[in-house]
Amino acid sequence: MKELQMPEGALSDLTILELGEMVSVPFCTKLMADMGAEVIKIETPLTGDSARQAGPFPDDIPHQEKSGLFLYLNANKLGITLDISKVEGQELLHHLIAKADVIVYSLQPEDAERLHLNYDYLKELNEGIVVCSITPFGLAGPYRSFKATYLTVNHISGAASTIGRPEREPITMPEGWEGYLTGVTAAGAILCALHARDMDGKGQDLDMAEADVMATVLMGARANMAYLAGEPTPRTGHRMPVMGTNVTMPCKDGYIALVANEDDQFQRLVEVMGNPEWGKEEIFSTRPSRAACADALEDLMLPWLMEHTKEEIFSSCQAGRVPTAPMYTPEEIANHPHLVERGFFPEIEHPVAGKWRYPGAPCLFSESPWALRRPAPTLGEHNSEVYCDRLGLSLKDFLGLRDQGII
Amino acid sequence: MNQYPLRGIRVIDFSWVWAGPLGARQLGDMGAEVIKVESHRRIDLARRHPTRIKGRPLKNEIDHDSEVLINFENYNRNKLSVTLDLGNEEARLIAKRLVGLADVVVENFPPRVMKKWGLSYDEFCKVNPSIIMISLSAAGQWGPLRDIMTYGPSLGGLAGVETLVGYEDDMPLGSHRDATDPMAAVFAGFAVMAALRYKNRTGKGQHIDMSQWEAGATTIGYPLMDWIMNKRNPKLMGTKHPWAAPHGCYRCLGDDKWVSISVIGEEEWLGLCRAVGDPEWARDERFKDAASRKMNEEELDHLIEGWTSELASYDAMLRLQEQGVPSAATLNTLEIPKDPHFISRHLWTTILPNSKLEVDDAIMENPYWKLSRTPGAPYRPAPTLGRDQNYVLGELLGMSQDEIAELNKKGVLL
Repeated sequence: MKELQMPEGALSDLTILELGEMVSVPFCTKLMADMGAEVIKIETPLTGDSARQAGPFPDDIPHQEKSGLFLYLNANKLGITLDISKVEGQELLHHLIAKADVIVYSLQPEDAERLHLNYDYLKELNEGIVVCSITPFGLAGPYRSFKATYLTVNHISGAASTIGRPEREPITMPEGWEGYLTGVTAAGAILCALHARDMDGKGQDLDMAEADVMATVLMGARANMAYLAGEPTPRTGHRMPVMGTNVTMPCKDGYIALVANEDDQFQRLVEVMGNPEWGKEEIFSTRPSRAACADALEDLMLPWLMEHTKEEIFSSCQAGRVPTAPMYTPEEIANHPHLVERGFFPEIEHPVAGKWRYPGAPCLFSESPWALRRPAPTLGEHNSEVYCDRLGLSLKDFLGLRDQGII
Repeated sequence: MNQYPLRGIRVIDFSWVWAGPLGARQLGDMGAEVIKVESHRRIDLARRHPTRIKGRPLKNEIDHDSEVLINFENYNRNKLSVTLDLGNEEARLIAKRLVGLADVVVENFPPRVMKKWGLSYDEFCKVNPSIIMISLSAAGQWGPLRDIMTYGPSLGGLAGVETLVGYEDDMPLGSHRDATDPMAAVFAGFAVMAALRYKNRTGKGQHIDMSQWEAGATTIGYPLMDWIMNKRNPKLMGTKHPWAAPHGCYRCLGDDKWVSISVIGEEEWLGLCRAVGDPEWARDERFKDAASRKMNEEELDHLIEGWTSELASYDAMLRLQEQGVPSAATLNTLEIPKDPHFISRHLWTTILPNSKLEVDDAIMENPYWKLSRTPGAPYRPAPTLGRDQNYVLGELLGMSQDEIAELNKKGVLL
């Protein structure tokens, strides 16, 4: 499939190899592919990335070329298949690594060594290679070999303890969110390692872990504060009272994130609500006192909220400079006029899955734009381009390796 | 190559509070010189909002010349601080001179404010044609909702992250974690590094427009694709799994102590049974396969909790992990820096000896980017307000002491 011609991407001088599944590793390399890097995604023959089975699927009919999560996370990448457990597969991969800038994978040290993909081995092939591992718990530490899911990563990292109703079991950030957060943190780290390499020619290895990222990027500031306070961050359900008025509230047609932390913001909220008598009560005049009587305050605000829609509350609060906004569903986001005008949902056609819109650029670059240039690869789509055209395998050898299941 | 790969890069950081400063911190942690442009007229909320310190009354008045608070320390270590009243024309000229000497500008003012002050990207290009500027805002530099004002939960609400958090039988609660702020910070770190790479190759800077709403929305891929493909919004599920059981968290010994358990496949189920000591109920027909376990989930959860409730959460986690079952103790924010695994990961460090916190005993984060050879580090405490005026104005801009005194008198340096 011919790539669309676009202005040069910021990262178009990079070649990145990816051995990843589901979210963390693929999102990390996707961010770089979106900025023009050539990303070669390496999947196991026949089944590929397990995200191909994750869905969602159009009409809920599973198909390894139609998984929404896979299509979203792997657009802009070339796709090849390779059995890296076989020596012949490792040799081919080493040829690719010799010419690449970065390899991103999720391998524990003993597995990386067994597969000849550990940094010490690879740096002999390519002095400048940057090797980034993204795993749930990292490559060192007592929990490094622990089996993990989004649930357990949320719980070990301190996140879950602070989410949900205080009298009930803790809940979590959305499934997969930890993978996105880790992927983007790792992508920044990789670019920094490349910056170092550009200065002295030497690569290095990176050990990025989902539990680390959730415990620090998401929860780190809270841990710093808990340390000083001698008390953990509480779980406070639908609100965060210490901030003042900072609460999820129902309204006429859904839910609103009602935020009016500062005293002046709260006063303006009272005006937006039509200056009810209770708005003048002394007890609501400062943040700590509003926090202390959050129950009563919410009961008083509820009737007005239930008479107004999300959009009505959003626009009247914003007009009154109260930082309140709706709790949008995926439906509302996918169709939001602001996002549509911003071009946030580009569309591209996939040879099997068809034409779909996808979430787009996390930020806009004025000179080297984010671009959706090609759809996610079908399984092994670029095998002959990479193995024959680039690595110079003869057609005979290529077919032989394919028949053996190496490719 | 020393441990600071970004040494030699200069950043002018106009941003405040969390997302912007934390974004710039990643660069400062790696050795970039980050100059924070602040003002006595608009003091960073992270300098102002007191946090509780055990055994002391909550402080309401902070002397910004002599003290910083923990969040400010954490987001702004390694940085320099100069105060400029950007409402003043002369101050804006000084700001532009600084940008003339810099590689990167970070800011998160409302879009109309920088323009009004003549501190837009176009204006900066006149003093520095190859400047990289990243502007963080709620909804972007342009668009129908460009001027909206949000805080963490309302931004998370817009981005769709918050409606996904809640129990099956309850309203969406939202996470109340202000997740879009630190998330925007790490996106900003990536975006600036990408722009630096482009500039090193082409000589060109650029303007990066980060809408935190859009950045946030990229992190809910599955639900967005389910709407796009099937016109379906997700149902809240708490910690339950659509088809696997047991999946959730279970009470352990002590108050609000839990262990999380995810049994997805048969191997994990067998591991769970072994960990629990092969109880009679494990062989029950009702739990014989994934479908049956899901159907009888409530009873199964009850039985498992009968086991976990006699154990400390760490104990339950270790026993389960020994048998190959994904599980984790539910740690709170006091516990995470004390956990042996996280300690071994060096995620936190003590504040620097000459920091200006009210206390000596406090922790802050280590750099997020875990590079083996060039790891960066916190090396200089966060600045008190305007601490580095002499260096920034005197050394970098070559002003004499008299010139600086004159500016002070005129209120330019407020």
